Amino acid sequence: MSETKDFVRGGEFLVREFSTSEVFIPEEFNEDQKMMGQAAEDFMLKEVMPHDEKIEKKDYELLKTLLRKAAELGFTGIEIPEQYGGLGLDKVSTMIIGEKFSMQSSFAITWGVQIGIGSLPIVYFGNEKQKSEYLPKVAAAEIFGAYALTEPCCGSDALALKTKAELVEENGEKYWLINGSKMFITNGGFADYFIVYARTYINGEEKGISAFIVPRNAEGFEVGNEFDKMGMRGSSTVPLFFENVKIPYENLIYEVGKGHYIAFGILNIGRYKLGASCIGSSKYAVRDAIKYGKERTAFGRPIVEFEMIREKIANIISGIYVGESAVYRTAGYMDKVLKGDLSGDESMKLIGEYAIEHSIIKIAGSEILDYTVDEVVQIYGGYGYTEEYPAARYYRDSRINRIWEGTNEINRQVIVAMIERKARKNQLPIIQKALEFANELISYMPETPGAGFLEAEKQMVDIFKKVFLMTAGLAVQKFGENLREKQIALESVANIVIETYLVESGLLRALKLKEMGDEKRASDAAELLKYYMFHAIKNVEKEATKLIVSALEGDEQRMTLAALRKLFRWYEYPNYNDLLNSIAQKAIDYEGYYMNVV
Amino acid sequence: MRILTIIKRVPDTAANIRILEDGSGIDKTNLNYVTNPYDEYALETALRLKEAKGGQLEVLAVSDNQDILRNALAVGADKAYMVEYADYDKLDPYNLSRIYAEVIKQKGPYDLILTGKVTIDDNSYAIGGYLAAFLGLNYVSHIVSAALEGDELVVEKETDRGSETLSISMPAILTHERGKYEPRLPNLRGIMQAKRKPLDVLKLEDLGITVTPAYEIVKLTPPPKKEGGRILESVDELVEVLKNEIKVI
Repeated sequence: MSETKDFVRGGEFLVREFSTSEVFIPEEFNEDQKMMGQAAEDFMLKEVMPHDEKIEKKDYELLKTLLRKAAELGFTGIEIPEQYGGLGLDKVSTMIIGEKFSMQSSFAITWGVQIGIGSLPIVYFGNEKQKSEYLPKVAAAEIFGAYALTEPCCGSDALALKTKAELVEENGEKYWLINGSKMFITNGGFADYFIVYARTYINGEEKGISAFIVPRNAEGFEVGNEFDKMGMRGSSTVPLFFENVKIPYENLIYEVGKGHYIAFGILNIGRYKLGASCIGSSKYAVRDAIKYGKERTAFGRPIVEFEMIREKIANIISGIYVGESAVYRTAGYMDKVLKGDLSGDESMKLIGEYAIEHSIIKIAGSEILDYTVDEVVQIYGGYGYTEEYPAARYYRDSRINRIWEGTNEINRQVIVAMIERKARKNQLPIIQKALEFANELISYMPETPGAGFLEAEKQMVDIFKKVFLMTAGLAVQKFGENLREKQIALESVANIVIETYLVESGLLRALKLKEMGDEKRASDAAELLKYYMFHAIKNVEKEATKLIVSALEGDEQRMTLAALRKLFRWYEYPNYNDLLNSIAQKAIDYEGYYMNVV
Repeated sequence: MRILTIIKRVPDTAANIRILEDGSGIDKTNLNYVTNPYDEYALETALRLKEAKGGQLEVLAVSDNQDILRNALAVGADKAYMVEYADYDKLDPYNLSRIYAEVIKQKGPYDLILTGKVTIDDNSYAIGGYLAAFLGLNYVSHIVSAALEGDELVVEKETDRGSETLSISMPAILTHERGKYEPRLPNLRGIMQAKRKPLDVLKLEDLGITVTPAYEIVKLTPPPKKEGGRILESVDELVEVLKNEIKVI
């Protein structure tokens, strides 16, 4: 039996069945959310896209002007509370707007830093004085912020950072002296202030990492030259250098030694927003590729008539469908717990509850987008390899998303580490459930599902959760203390978790559409889910197999593999070829992702 | 001053319009709708008049969806009326104008009525003319801007040979050409405030009128497909084709 609860724990989807009333789906966007999405799209089309070429040549003044235009319409204040001149929008709205802004990647990231990492540390952790001094000006795009965590030595291993902040007291004055350097700082070329993380020393004693606000005009502070990047060439990315940079004591954000807490909290937010923006980019890229493929002929026919092209389209559309479902499901959880309260340490804890889900949508979003842009180049053929068509640009712009906001490798580790922590704290009954299932594994026989709407797929989602319990249990049992070193085993578990969340989000959306009485949409959704399910099953089987053959040998291995196969054997696959042609045809007729709501 | 802007909900100009196989209508699945672009220019001019001289700006649509009215409220209209009518997109301009006229009689009087010169879904230019006749109003079509100079309404109108500047006494109806100013985008705060503004939903029964559509759409046909070009080998071949195939020389 499924149960309905008001508060859903992060990662809870792994240990119980979810009901449709517990998930938010895009078809539930309210009127305001839809209008804001439309307004964001109109803004991009009318104010930003006409400057596309000039933006890509990196023009700080143009970026600043466009940010000010965005500010006039409210787009730079969406994450700032109303009392500081912002709009304090809900997470669903910010994700819809993020999807639309992805239309021009360089501008999108410039805006994303201004409203995100460049100001959120102050929104969530700043004191009253810092908030009232900075936030109204950020919302109005009168000043621009940047975020400086990464260093030449340390990206993924961010906490190994070497930049130092020493507290100095002389002549009754207290100030921080900062020395060191930072790397790959977005918007650094024109930012007015920087949120800088540094290892903190008081009286020669190390006090951990803290965050500081460093104004651009501080003496000894220098902004380096722009990097010549693969993509998002219109955005500013620079190194920073600090040589005895003196900043007032009150420029410390939050508390001494709590910088890592700020950094990880802000990264979590960055992750779910990145997931949404990648889904948005995928929609734009596949739209262009389909339009091109309808015009382009080979052997006397438009190339979208060829099945190998159609399969690519079906893969992309079904990937966007599950990804989008997961993005807004997660946004729905956050909006429910945040209840409009945006800033502050408490909100950050509530957001952090869903760190597993944030990493999932970060990984899934960036990998769906990377698959999309790769096949978009393929659909454009030789022209896709030139800068005359948009495919090459999509391809270049996409690639960073698997790297920043925590590489996908780090995020996979985060998923497993967070699950492990929640299990240890008894927040999720994973250990108990894994033991239960381990005992019944050999004798377990999946029931034959009924023939009702998506009943088989519903059972398959349950099987995925069982495979998760089985593999996670096996990994802990076999590798124990050594598990952290067994990265490939961790990766397999993470991949099973990711697929589980994606298919379940797609399933619950289709079921909810059916309940809402939208038969047409429910049937389109079901078709996309079934198609995606084929790939997900193969992936989950592969990952589980990889882990089993790494952990077990001989009879034990053979028996466990047989038990794994048994978990999937009952499922009757729908005709793959029919599904792909049906999905592709709908996308071709619609010229893009046809489940879009805004 | 009281101004009314009449707007129509039409399929997105950027959408790929698909005609149903039997030709009975268009496929509305996942179709995005927008405000008729010329009505947006009319609304922009109305907003500018209101901002310059004050007054009340109301909007009216016959529709089954409030979205375009909410948008109009979000950019600055004060009040909206929606006459609920499911097949509004198939309704002929004569009957549509009768409905508009009835709302104007009951909710007016208005000093000024503005709407687009044409509705792009059915390519009809008739609304302005019908309303002027039904309501006995002064009427100028194809305006590109309007301003109040004292109590005088001065409008600029495009003609084939340039533009005319006219002074017109109110009450009047104006239909809008592509304007001198781009319609503004709604800001997010406006969107949030729009739901607190009044939006009255009216039914035909409330207005006391019945509608018998003047015509029925028999069949829609997509535009002919563009045929691909053909590369000829030589000038001689080109001459041959122009002379004997296309017969233009």
